[in-house]
Amino acid sequence: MGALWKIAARNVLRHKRRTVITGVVMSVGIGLFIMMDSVLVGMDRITLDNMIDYTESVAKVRTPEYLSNQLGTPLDYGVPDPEAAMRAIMAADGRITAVAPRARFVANVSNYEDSLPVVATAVDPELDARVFKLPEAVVSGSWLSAAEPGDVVIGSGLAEELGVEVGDYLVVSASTVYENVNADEYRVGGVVFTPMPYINDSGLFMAYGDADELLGTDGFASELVVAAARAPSLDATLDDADGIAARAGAALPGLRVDSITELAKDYLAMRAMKSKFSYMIILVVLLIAAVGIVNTILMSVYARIREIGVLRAYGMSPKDIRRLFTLEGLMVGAVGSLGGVLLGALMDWYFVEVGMSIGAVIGSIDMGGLPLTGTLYGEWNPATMVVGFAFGLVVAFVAARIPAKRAARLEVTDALRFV
Amino acid sequence: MNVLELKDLTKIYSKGDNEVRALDGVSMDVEPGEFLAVVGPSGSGKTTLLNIIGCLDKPSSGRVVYEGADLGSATQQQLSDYRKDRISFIFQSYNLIPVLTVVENVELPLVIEKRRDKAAVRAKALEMLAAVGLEGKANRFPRELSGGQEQRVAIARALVKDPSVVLADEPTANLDSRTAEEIVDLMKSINATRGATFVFSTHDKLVMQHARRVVTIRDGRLVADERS
Repeated sequence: MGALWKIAARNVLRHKRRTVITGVVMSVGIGLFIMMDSVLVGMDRITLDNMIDYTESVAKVRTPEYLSNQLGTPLDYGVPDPEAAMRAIMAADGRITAVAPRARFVANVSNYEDSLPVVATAVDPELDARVFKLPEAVVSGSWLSAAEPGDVVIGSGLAEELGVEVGDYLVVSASTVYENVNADEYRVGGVVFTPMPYINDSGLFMAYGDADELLGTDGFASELVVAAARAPSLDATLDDADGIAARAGAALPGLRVDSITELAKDYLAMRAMKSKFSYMIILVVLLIAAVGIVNTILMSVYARIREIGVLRAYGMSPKDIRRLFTLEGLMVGAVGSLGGVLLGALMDWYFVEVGMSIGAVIGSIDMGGLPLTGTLYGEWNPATMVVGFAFGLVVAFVAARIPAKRAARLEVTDALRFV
Repeated sequence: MNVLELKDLTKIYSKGDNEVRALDGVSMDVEPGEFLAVVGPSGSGKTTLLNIIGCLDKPSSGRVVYEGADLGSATQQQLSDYRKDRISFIFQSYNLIPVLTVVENVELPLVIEKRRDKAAVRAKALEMLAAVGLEGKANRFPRELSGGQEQRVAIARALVKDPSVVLADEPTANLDSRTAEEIVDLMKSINATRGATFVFSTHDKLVMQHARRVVTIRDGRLVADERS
């Protein structure tokens, strides 16, 4: 086998240009696959991070009854004794850093001329700021404060639509627990611009005290939202969230705890489709590379027919002839795959360390409501590199077998006569 | 015992409806240590005969007996194994492996035999290179050698495994007359010192003169068998 390696390696080096061209095609294919995977994971990461940071949190605690009726945003079926539940959640898992109550309700907001429907959220300003990054998204004014009742924070798109600024007043009306409609006047204390389009377009936040007065509730919590320490990768984030939800669920009998995996299941299903798409791309590129490998080895076979005849005349078995040319293909494949992994790693490095401004790439195109803004960072994924390398080798192996078999089938006398 | 016995060999090639009788009832015996030339015009069947003797091809009918073993019913694999163990070849175009050095080319038959002792293989190859006068060229590549030197390497390669029979198809056809004579002298001297049986085909009258036995083939028939 050692001699086969030697002959194969030297033949691969003998036709450098041929080897380099095939290797480069493979490298580009595998490199693109690795980079694309990194960017897609980065997109998923930024999307899920934004969901976690602005709307969903790592896990949500709700009653099963509320979940069954959540489309109507009822003021019933809230989490019983939210304070006790929050203490139980904090004690359930060391990774949990904060818990906050929220009450979601549908309201109408008016600037005294026009009125628009909004999804309003009652929050504990201090606790909510520990779970979500909304205070960081305030572009004018300030985040809510329990010390300043009568203020609301609204999304930037809504502010624009209503033509209001910080300091202006709005009338918010909503159905109460008494099944009548109540309205009150609130000052716009802050405007937020978040990566979540629907918050920008129809989000309204008010402090619990104001919401209780408006709705006739008493600390009603339609949900408890949970924050956890940031995990190093997307998969780790999802795993952590599932673990946290399981532990919190065990600590809260009768309540339903959904992790971000469940909360973002539609997006994650789309992610799986994207992943399939990226595999399709690598398949196409590697098919092109496979044609290159078949061609390279076929040319090698054709150029060395008499050499094959000599080896066979001296007793080399057809099996070893097949091995020889398969090895050559594998060597080209290994060089191409290794180059691909290095190229992919280099591109990964750029996306992981430097990142790419999404705005600069897609401008102001609406991404169908997806929370995809900010700087996109790639993620290192050694498994993808291993898959890319292995896939390259498999493609090279399969591609090299075709001409290698042909070489092994040559009649010795025909091969020796070949000019 | 004869090293080789050919009994009534016939080889027929079919081309469409036409049959070409490349060999037609050739019988002969070869004794160990012979230095035998097969001569005849182009298309007379010399190469076909050498291919059959070399177990590269099978006769349409007749028997090939090597050292008492009848290879008539041997499978391709058995023929390949026999070739590996007992027969060596020298080709008209030398056919050295261009990516291997001179010494690696000479080692090749032993490597194909899967001999494990690398040091012994190297020593044997160097010994053969010395025998053909190329001890200083061991690490050169074939492209760095002249035609005569390449054929010397091919001879060293053929002899490295101590074969029973060395077959050479027109070994001097690509060489100038002086080099051709040197190569035949070398083959003859190795035949004398090592006792290897040489069977070679040639057109060259000068080369023929060196043979101790000349077998003439014409139209697939053995028409003369002269010993000097």
